[in-house]
Amino acid sequence: MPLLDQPPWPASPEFARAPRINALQGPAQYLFTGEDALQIDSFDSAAGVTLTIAGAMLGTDLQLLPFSFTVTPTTNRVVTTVRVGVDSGWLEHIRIIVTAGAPLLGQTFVFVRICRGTLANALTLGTIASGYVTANTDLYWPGGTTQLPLDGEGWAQAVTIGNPAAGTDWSQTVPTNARWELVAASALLTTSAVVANRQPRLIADDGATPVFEAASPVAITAGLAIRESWGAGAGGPVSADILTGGAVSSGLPNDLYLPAGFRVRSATGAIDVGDQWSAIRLYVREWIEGV
Amino acid sequence: MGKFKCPTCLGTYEDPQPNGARYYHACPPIGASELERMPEGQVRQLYPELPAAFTRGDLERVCLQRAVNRDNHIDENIAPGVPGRFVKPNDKLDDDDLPRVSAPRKLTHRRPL
Repeated sequence: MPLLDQPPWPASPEFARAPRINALQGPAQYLFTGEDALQIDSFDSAAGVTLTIAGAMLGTDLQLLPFSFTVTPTTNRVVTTVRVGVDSGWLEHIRIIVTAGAPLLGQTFVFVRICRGTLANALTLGTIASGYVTANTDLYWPGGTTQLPLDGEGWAQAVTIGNPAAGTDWSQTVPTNARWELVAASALLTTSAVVANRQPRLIADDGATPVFEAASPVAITAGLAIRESWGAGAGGPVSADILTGGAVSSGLPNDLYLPAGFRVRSATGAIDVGDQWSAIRLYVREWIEGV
Repeated sequence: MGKFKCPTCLGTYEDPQPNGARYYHACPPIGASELERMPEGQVRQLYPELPAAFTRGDLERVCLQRAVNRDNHIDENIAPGVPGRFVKPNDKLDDDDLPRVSAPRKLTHRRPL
């Protein structure tokens, strides 16, 4: 058979001598030589999650070699890496599904990769599939999409913040390896009998310096229990219904994304030592940062 | 689910949260009401920009501009930049075996409520 035309660019001597007709199209995209391994990188914020990874290799003599193993990611959003040697051959298919726990989309992210070697200094060669998984939303190859951790709608969750000591403001730090979009915040301020005009504020800061500050539209006087709420999308001071409803609402900007280490906190002007914040909730969307 | 009280800021919190996620407590920064009860020299160390004779309003203003953490500040969040960990298939790692921002990794400071 005639050789193919030589490329128009200068080729190295070895490449120029290579017989092009020896090129081989395998039956699948990923060939594992026996030195290659599957690498599963998982990030998780949900409790009790177990991932099951199952698939099959196409070995010599067209023998189908199934494999299956589990991975238990830690719940602290730090990457957990598993490297598993699979049989030599072509990767035919692979599927990752949650077989224990009940993570929502945005809580458990998995990268399926091919690497050379199984020890700590293994060389990662490529990403086969990646995405968020749940008990009924699997990650698979071939045919699946490749997602990045900051893709998608995020995990919509209510963060329950503990009560600070009396006379102290509350604070919540965005956890390491998470990214939040602050959608709403709500907290109950019970004021003491000491006469003063308390001025609640919601502050987003980078750990020290404010990046956004939303003051309550009204001052809170003594002897009240007022639910202060802040919501994204509202254009400014929204409502104050202190006498009948015990509630004050204020605006927050849309798309207030906060990386790890940023804080959402209150700063109450003229707070008294007997005042108490309680029932504090943040409504946030969370993504795994994937670092 | 456990309820705890922070020995530094005296705040109370639950871990894990009602939705099952881990809760990483971090003390709030010092507020104006706390500064007001501190010795003046200590306040000036934290906020040297305060005027010679400062009022509660001055304390609130400087607190808004720059938040300062208290002594023995607790931050249970995983220290940023901690590298990932390797595990064998079908094995499980300890969730609490990573360095924290400013707390022991085993969270021995926690006081159950």
